[in-house]
Amino acid sequence: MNLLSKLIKPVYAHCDVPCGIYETDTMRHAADTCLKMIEKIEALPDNSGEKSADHNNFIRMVMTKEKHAQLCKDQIYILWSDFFKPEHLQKFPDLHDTMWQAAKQCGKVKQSISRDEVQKLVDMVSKIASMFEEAHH
Amino acid sequence: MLLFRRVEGESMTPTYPQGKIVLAWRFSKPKKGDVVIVKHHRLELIKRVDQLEGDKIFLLGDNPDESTDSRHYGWLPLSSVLGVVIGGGRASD
Repeated sequence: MNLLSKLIKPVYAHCDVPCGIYETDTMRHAADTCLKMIEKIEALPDNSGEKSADHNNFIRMVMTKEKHAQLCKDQIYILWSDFFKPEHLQKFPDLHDTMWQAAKQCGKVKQSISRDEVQKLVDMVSKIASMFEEAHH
Repeated sequence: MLLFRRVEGESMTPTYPQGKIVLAWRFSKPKKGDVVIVKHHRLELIKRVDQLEGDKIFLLGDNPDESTDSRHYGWLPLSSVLGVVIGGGRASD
């Protein structure tokens, strides 16, 4: 840029952050991690023997599930509020409901040790990932 | 009165790429399809008028993938318009 044009006051044709950096891998990975934790909890030997190592493992798995359910929720919120634009609503009329129900499902995954609830989340996240792919074309 | 400004950013590419110098009329009333310079949160922005209703305008960048505009900050008051860019209207409008 030459000196003369530097003297001219800028007018911003800007984007708040370098955008277009969105992905669905983190969201998928988080939902899959919750599913993995359920599988591990189910595979634990009976806790009635009060084996402390098992107890410790159990708690760590629940904590990991809690953390990843939140991570999944955060990722859903980012895609919902920042990536999807009003024009995508025409393509996906159920966009808002899909994102809302998926975010709520993350809460259900935290509250329970239920394979069904986690499987629902994995399926919802997969649907969002497909919408994301389609929105790119 | 004329405003001289230098475009910073890519939201108006390819019409007004980074570094392009633009001229705008002050106190000119914008129409739908015009490119305007507006003041928003202490920054001067260049965007295109997508819709105009009463004393509100809805602005979009020509390059929507790299633009922060009314899709994010909503309608702006018509009074935020500082000038209308000369030669910024679209032939199709």
